[in-house]
Amino acid sequence: MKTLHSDVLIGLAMLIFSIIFLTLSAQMPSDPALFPKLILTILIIFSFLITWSGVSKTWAAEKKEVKQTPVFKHIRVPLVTFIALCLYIALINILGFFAASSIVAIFFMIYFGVRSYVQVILVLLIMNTFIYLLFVWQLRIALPTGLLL
Amino acid sequence: MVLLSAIYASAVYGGSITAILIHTPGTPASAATALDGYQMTLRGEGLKALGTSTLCSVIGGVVSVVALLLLAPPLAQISLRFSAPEYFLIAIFGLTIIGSLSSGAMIKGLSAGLLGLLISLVGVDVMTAYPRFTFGVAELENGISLIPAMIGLFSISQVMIQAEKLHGANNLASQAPKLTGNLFPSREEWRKLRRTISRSSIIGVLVGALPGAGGDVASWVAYNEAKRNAKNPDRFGKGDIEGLAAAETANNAVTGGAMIPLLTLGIPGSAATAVMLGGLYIHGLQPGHELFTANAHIVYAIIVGLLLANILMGIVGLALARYVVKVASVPFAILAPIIVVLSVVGSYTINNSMFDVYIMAAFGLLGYMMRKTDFPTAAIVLAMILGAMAEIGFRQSLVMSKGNMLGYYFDRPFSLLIMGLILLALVSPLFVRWKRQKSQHAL
Repeated sequence: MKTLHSDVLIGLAMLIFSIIFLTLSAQMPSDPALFPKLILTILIIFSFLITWSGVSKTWAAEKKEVKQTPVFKHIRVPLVTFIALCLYIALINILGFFAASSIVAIFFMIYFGVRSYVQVILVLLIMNTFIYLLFVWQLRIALPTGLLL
Repeated sequence: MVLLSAIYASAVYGGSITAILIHTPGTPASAATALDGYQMTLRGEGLKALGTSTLCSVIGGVVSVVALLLLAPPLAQISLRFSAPEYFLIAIFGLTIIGSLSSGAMIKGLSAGLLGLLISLVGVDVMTAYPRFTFGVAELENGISLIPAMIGLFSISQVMIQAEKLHGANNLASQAPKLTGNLFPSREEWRKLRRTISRSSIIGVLVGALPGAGGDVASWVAYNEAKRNAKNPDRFGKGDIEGLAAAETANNAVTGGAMIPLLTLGIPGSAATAVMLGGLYIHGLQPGHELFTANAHIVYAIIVGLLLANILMGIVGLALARYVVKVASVPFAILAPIIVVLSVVGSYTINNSMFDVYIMAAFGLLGYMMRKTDFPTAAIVLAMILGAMAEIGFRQSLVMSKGNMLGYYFDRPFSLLIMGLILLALVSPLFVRWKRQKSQHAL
């Protein structure tokens, strides 16, 4: 199966995005819609150019018989990182900032390969103490609290 | 602002420490430094290379601040002639520069700028109070906060990018050699370096003031000029102190030079100065004549602060450089959770709002996808900063032109000049790339 260059998909995604937002702009009164319409029209032209550039790169790679490496080949670890970030944000609302931060920090350290428990405990202590002293004690910011702290 | 400009100057210098000691340029501006600096380290002159780099960086930085102090106030007078069309064009010019600096295709850079402009439109329209792209979410009516978006685009995306490269990283400290010998060059060596330092300072300031050409271009041009004028050009690349001095002086001389178009006309020539422009706007400061009159106490504090930062950078650098290189050995596994937690705190504390944290996460994912597909994230940030100025300038000039917008723009000399600069910004990256390749081939 032919592998499309990532620019083809990016260009098409940009095109769909621009058309959706252009439709939304069309429902606005003319004055506030003017600038968005101008930007989205140029963005549509650029998305065609990016798609065309992707198609050209696909053809060029086919000619040279070069196998293209997918851009998101190694997405597993970044994806896990992002999901952990989302869960962390959700946990802040439930458990409170410091408890959720400690849990996510432990997860990241173990997931990324820290094997020394002393290091994990030291990082947790230093990180939480620093944030508490600077933001809560010094700047008097009320960080979100929850079931724990 | 003093903090931002001090970080800007010091980061350029800091990038040279790893370039000299472990052949890993911390910034693109330190790539030329690595050529001779690392060879000196291998020869057992690492300490002298660090000392020379520090002193040359301080001299380059101080010269550039003096140039900024002398050139910026008269240049700021020009902004008095600016009206709505010029402000619109200045915003477009800024975006064109950042967009055209994209390492991939220029179209992608410009598209990122347009996306940023679109994001800046989210919220209630300032002229008609009509809510645009808010989808009924009350928090979006004030628009998307810049700082959480910046944290997501730069910090979270960086964590995700680094997460991909877990293997074989973070062993830099073991490669750092032991440092012995003299910290400073001999009197004879200093005598030889005087001309190189003077020439490189001027090159750095001029290249810095040129939007789009940053520290990397300046250091390569200065290095090439030093080599061209050297008695023994063959020694360049093999640990020649003159090559090191040229690159180091020029890359720090860029910092003050780059602030000239930023503070006088609001034109950011690089990603770092784009962030500083954001800092100015966050504090309600408009670059131009007013900044040097009504807000003179602030702008001169920034300039003097940059001067002091350059001097302190030298003192701290001389005392700590040999130890600071060990920072490069902190494992990513420890840095990642700290960056993530601080990103969340930083986003939350802007408005004490969890909505800003959601924005930060969303922009983190967007930033990661953009960086993986060669879209510059700095262009989005700059567009978010300049978006309001661009739209208001555009709509006001539309009213002022009474229907004949093109004629109105072409009748104004400064509009014509900025339109010429926009064209130049679109063409100049091609020239800069050619010049850089020529410099590298010549070595």
